Amino acid sequence: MENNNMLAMILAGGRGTRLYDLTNKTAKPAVYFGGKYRIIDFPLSNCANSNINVVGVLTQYEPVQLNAYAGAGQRWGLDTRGSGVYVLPPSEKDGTKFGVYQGTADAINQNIDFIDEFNPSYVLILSGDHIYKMDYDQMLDFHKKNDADLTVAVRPVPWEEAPRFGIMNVDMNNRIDEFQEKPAEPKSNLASMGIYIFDWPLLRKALIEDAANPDSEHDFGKNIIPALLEADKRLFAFSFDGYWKDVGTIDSLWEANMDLIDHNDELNLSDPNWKIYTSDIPLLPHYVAPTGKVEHCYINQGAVIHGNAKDSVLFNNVDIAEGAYVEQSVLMPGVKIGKGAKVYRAIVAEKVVIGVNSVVGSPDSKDIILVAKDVEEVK
Amino acid sequence: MANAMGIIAYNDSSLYVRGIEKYRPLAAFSYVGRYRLVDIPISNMTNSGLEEIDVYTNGDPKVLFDHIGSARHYNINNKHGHVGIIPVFTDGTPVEYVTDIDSYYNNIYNIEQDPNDYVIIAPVNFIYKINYSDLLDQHIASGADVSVLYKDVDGARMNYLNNFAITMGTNKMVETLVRNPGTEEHISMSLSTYVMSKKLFLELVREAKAYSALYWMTDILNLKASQEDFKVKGIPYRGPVFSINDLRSYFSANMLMLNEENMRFFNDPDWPIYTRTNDSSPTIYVGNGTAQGALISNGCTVAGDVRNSIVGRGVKIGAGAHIDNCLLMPGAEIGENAILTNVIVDKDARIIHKKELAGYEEDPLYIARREVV
Repeated sequence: MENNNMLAMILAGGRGTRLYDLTNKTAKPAVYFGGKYRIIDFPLSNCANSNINVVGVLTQYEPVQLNAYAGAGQRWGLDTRGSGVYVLPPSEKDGTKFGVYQGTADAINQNIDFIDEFNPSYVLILSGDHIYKMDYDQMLDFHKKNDADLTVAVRPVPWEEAPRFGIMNVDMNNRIDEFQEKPAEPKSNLASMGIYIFDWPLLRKALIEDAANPDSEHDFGKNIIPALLEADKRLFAFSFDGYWKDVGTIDSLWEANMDLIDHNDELNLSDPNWKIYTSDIPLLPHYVAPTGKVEHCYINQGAVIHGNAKDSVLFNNVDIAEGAYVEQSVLMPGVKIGKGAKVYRAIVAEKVVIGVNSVVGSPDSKDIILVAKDVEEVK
Repeated sequence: MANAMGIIAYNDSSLYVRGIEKYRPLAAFSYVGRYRLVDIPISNMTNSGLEEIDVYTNGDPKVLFDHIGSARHYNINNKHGHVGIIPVFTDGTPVEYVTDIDSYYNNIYNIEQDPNDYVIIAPVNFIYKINYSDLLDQHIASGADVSVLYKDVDGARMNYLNNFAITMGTNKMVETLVRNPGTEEHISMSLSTYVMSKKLFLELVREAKAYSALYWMTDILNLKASQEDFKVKGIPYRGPVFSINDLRSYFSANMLMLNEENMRFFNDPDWPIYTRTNDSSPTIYVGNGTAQGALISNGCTVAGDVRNSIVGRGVKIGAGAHIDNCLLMPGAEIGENAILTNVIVDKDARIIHKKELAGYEEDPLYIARREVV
């Protein structure tokens, strides 16, 4: 497939502290989502579907699992000649002190040599913790058409929520004339999605200047974008109105999973023209036993269900024993629910065993609980 | 790594599955919603450490090329292993008269070049799980010229009629290998799985070719088994095996996987059945959609009621539909309020108006590929 001369960098370094035990041993982008995926499958599949051949994944927190996962580029079809997924942890270089990525801009700055090797015209910056489907090629067309230096993807958010976001104020031609980080009194409701297309020579120069500035936090939102605005560069806002969800908290991760059941057509993971690729687990189709019952569920192959499941997302290797009941929950791979156990409004982490007759969560609770340790059986 | 090359053989035309066979070779038949039959022997082989595999086929190979591709999904390192597809080559002879021996003979140069010392030949019409590496060890230890895997079965007067049966003398030495005559209730059924040295395999192919243009591998083995100085040994297989000889047995070979013991036996994380993924999303149950006693593949939308059935990838089942004891192949669409009992719905067929369709358990109704009812 013809390359569009754009290289993508995915910022996947986040600690994901608000996902608590789900990110104890896993970087946030490797967290499971939607019955068979990991969060990072979304930006990687979007890249593969947008004619992008080279993707750098910037990791630093608990990178082992993510490295092993993202490094196998054939899952997303990113392994043909001239293409690849490169996992880029911080590394020691001449003249720099070995350390961590200091900020989002620093992460790219430390990998200038990597990007230069491919000599792209454009660099796409993505974050590794959002669930959405987007054609970056269309965004690039928009970028070229406007002769932009930087294009920022934005989405309209409800006005009352605007103070929580980085807000882009634009003129009639979608040119950004002001950027407000979490403004108390927003002038627009166009929130930055953290998706940027830069002309590479311009970004390269800006990163080097920023790196030399001791007062900078080396962050795209706080430093790079304001500096470019200051310099009167051409910044444009590309509006996106499809499904988009930040899954940085237990609640939002749970909600995004539930959206697959309640609003399945919004994200539409069964679109044959925009598949989300992931690793295939070689297991039989999911099995519902004669004693089992499923209602309103989203279920991956390899799940075995002898009990009842309602309004739930079930990953591969989930095993629900006879007489068990699961409602409004997300059961990650290998979760076992013992006989007679009940699970309500929960995210149950990988391979957790819920003991016989135990009860987890409550159907009336407003909160979603995360179960990351085995629950003992009740005698 | 096992010191054997894998040969996946085709069947002669006496094995005929009404309807389905019109559209693809047996090796490419859909199995349990997400597999094709050829996945079973290939997975058994790659799980056993065989890395040089050739799939011989006498049907339209298009689907197999697409399905097998680079074979990386079979957990084969395709730098030093491969799964080849070898369609029948004919100089004008009708395809049904091109024997397996002819096909091996046409490929004899490549087989000679293969570095392995043994060959393991496996069929696509038996579903079983076996470690061929262990089988090879057993074969070598026995000192036999050829080993044949077999299964003792009952009900052979009515079933397995175009399969082969073996008779054995002392020490499980095979005396005859002939088509099940249907006269005995109990037979030792050949699983058409043979182990022998590559050298002997090549000799047998040449000898059979010289002997008769109509000789299949079974014929030459039957002939050799009768000779005093040639030892063919029967090795019993003890696990479950499903045989496919016709439409009814194809249906039951699928439906038997709904038996939980069978399902767990084959759904073995240490012995996976590999197939080509098509990256479909998980399956969604919407409205009053539900399933009981069923295997449901990914990518389906279930709004109806599914009982005792196998549902292939990407099937749509409309609201109010009732599916009982059916085999729905990938991409089928069942409209609202349709009632289907004992029906095989082939790929991409659509039952779109309110309809009641019923076959018999012993004689399922077959809806052809892309047919619209």
